[in-house]
Amino acid sequence: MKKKNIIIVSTLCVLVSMWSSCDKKEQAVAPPLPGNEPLTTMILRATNVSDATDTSSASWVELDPTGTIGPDTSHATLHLKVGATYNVTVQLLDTLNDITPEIKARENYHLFCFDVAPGLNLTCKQTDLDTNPKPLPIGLTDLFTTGIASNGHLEVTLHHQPNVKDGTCAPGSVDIDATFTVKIQ
Amino acid sequence: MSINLKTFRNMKNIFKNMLFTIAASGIMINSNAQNITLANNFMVGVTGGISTPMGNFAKTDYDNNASGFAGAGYNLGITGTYFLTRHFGINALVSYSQYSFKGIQHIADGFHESFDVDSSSATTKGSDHSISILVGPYYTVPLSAKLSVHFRLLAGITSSTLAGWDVVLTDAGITHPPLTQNTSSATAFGLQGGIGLHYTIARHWGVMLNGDYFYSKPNFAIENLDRNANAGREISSYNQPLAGINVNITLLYELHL
Repeated sequence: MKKKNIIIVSTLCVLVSMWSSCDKKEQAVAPPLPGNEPLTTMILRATNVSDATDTSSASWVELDPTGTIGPDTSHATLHLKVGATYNVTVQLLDTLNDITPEIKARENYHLFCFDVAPGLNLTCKQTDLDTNPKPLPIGLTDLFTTGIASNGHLEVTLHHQPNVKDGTCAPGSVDIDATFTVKIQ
Repeated sequence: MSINLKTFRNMKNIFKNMLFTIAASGIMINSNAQNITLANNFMVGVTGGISTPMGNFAKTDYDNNASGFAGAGYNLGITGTYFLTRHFGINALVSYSQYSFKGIQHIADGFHESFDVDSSSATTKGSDHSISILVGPYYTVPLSAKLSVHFRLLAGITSSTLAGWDVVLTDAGITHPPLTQNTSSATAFGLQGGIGLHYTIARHWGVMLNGDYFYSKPNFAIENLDRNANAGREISSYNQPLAGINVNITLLYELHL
């Protein structure tokens, strides 16, 4: 009788402890990874839609990620003709590699934005689309249309918009911010 | 105190012979056994044990849409057997199984990489669990006066729920709204079968130790919320076997109707 009671009570204890043991919420955090190479260089390459020999390129370089030294803008001028349309490509580099394919692979949450300074007769429009459920512009390829002769600045920013990309420049953070000079002559 | 080699060999042989005898008795039907269980034609009990998922259900590969992220859990239930003959009966089982979530870190790491953000945090929603109502044949073979081995194969309905998760992305100091995979439920045909040992501890009381394979293949329709970008793991359905092994102990009350 005593043996029976011990077995019954032990079995019930095991069953009850299982019932109460493992119903908990699990949580995990993936922390920042050290050592990511910062983007250092943006290159714009423009080709006249009507004249393939009419090309221009400009590069903006900032090797100091803290921004203390300031960017090298000695080659950051784009020369465009009056009243013309240009196909433009954007290339990004870090200190070691061409990062453009990576941006392309992550197109669904990246967007290039173009801010044209007042007085510069230029319009910029992204021509490539991502693969989001509702396709949105990326900006790795673009169409620049010039007006009358003018000079000014063009600020190109790459926006990182994880799960918040909506086609506007507002959401997310900025991965690189480069300012070029554009001369329309 | 030391044991010399000869004594050790003798003990080893005795032990081997004992094991052989037990194994042989499991194969042969011991018709002379006075089994108390078989004097009773109905038994009912509470059962519980460890559930170990297998196959795709237990995989934790973020990039594999078949991964079920199910870890070991427990099951509890009520079981009853009605004996039609000395050896053969009908067994019914109503059970609840719950599994732990295995690999939440893989979810957090995967979204971290998929969205190239500074950090990500993943939290489970609900749990993987199933409720089964199963019925099937039960066959028992007595090994001694108090010990018997049995086999069962059960089939029926299994209603299962798949856990979900929330993932919060943080980048450049901005915490974005969570991406959510909701919990989802589905019902499917279920199977369970295995082998067990029954030990009679008193006239109306017994315990069983069971090992069972379980299987069902529900087709879950999964709802995802706040998925604005086509990036990161996102599945809209899950139709993989929910399979594994249950190892259970059952406390039985046996009676003659």
